[in-house]
Amino acid sequence: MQKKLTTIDEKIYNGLKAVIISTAPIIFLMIFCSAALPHPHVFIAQRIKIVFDDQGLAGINIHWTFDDMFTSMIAGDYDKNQNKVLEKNEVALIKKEAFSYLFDQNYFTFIKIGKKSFDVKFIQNFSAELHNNKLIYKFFIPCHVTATSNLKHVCIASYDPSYYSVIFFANNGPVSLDNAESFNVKTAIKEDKSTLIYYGQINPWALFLDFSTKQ
Amino acid sequence: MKQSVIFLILLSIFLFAPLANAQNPFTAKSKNQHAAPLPVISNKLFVKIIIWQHKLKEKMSSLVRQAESTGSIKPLLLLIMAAFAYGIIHAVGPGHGKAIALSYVLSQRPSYIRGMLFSNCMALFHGASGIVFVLVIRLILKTNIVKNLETVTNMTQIVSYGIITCFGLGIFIHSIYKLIKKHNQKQHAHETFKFGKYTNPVLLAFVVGSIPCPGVVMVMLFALSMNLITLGIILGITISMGMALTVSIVVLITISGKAASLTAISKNSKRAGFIEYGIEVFAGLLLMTLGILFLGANL
Repeated sequence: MQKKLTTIDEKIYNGLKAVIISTAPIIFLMIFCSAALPHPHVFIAQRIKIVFDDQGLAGINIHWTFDDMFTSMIAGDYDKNQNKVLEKNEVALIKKEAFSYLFDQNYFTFIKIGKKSFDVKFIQNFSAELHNNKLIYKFFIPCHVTATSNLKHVCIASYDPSYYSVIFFANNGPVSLDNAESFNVKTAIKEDKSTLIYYGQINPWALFLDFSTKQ
Repeated sequence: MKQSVIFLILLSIFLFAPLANAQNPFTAKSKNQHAAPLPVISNKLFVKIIIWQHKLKEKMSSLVRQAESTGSIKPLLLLIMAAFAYGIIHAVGPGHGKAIALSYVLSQRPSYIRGMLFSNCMALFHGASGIVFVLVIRLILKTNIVKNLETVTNMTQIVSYGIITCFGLGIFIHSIYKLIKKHNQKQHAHETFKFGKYTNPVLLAFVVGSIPCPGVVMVMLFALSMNLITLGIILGITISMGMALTVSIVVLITISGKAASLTAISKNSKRAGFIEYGIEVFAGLLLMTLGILFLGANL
C-alpha cells in the first residue's frame, strides 16, 4: 500500500515537474508578449458632436486630431507647396488616398441603435486641415433615429479594427450637442462591455447616448 | 517526451495567436477584416502599454521640436532614452519577426550568442530598412512616402515570406529525411546526434528584417520635416536597438525553454536526439506555415 502510494506520489511529482519545466518559459513568454500586444502607429484624439434635427438624431460630426508623426507623414506628401495650409485640391487627394479606404472599416465608427448594429455606408463633408502642427480630419456620419417619448439608446464606439491606430476621446470637450434643445439628452463615455477588440483584450471606450422628446 | 509535447503545443498556440496585418488602414485597402482570436490575458497592462507608447511618441516629438527651436543638444539624452524605450515597447507587439525568430530557434538549436546575433541583426535590419526607405524616397527620389511605403512593404513582405516559406520547407524535408535515416540505421543509444545549421543567422535576419518598420519611418519623417536628418537617423537606430532588446529577450527565453525540455529528457541521448529531430520537423513545418500565411495576407 505504502509502495503504491509512493509510486502515485512520484508520478504526480514527475508530472508536475514536467509541466513546470516545459511551460514556465513559454508562459512567461506568452505573458510578456501577449500582454504587450499593442502595436499602434497612429494615435488619434477624437471629439464627437451629436447633431439633432426636428425628428431626432440626424447624425454625428467626427473630429480627429492626429499625432505629430502621422501629421508630418501626411503633410510631407500632400501639402505640396509646404505652406502648412491644405488647399482644396490637396484635401481632395488626402480624401482619396489617406481616408476613403476607411470605408471598409466602417470609418472606425461602430454604431449600435438599441441592440442593432448600424453600418456606416457613407460620410459627408470631409475636410482635412493643419492646425498647430496637427493634422485634423472632420466628417459627418448621417444616422437618423426618430425621437419618441420613450428613451432611444445609441452607442458609438470608435476604434481601428486593424490595430494600426488607436482612438482616444479628447480630454477637453470630447462630446458636444447641436440643435438638441427640443429633446431630453443624456450622454456618457464609458467602456462598451459588449465589445472586445485588439485580440479580445480590451473593451473599447464608447459614447452612450440616450434621448427622448420633451413631454 | 511529455515536456517537449507541452512545449510545442504551447509554442504553437503562442505563435499563431498574434497574426497581424501591419498595413496602414488610412492609405491602403484593408485585406482582412478584424479577426480577433479569443481573449488571452487580462487587459490592464495591455491598455497601459498603448498609453505608454502614445506618451513616449508625444515626448519624442516635443523633444525634437525643442532641439530644433533652441538649437541645443540638451534634450538629446532624454530624446535618445525615450526613443530606446519606445523601441522596446513597440517591438513587443505582433510582427517584428518574433514568430519567425522563435521558429528559427526551434529549428536550429542555436547557442545563446548565435540567437542574440540573429535577433539583434533582425531588429537592426528592420529599423535600418525604414531609415534607408525614407532617405531614398524622400531625399533622393523626392516622391510620395504614403504610396511607396505600402508598395515597398508589400514587395519586401512577399519576397521575405517567400524565402521563409522555402526555408521552412527545406528544414522540414531535411529533418524528416534525417529522422527516417536515423530510425533505419538503429544506431546505439549513446551516439551523439549532430544538428544541422541550415543558414547564416545574419542572412536569415536580413531576409526577415528587410521589411521597413513603419514606426521608424514615421519618426524619420518627423525629424526630416524639421530638417534634422542626422537626428532622425540617430533616433531610428536607437529605436532599432530598443526593438533588438525585446526580440533578444524573446529569443533567449525560447532557447532556455527548448534547452530545459531537452535537458529533462537527455538521460536517454538517443531518445533526446529523436525528439530534437521531431522539434526540428515541427519548426520547419511552423516556418513554412507562417511563411504561407503571411504571404497569403500580402498577395
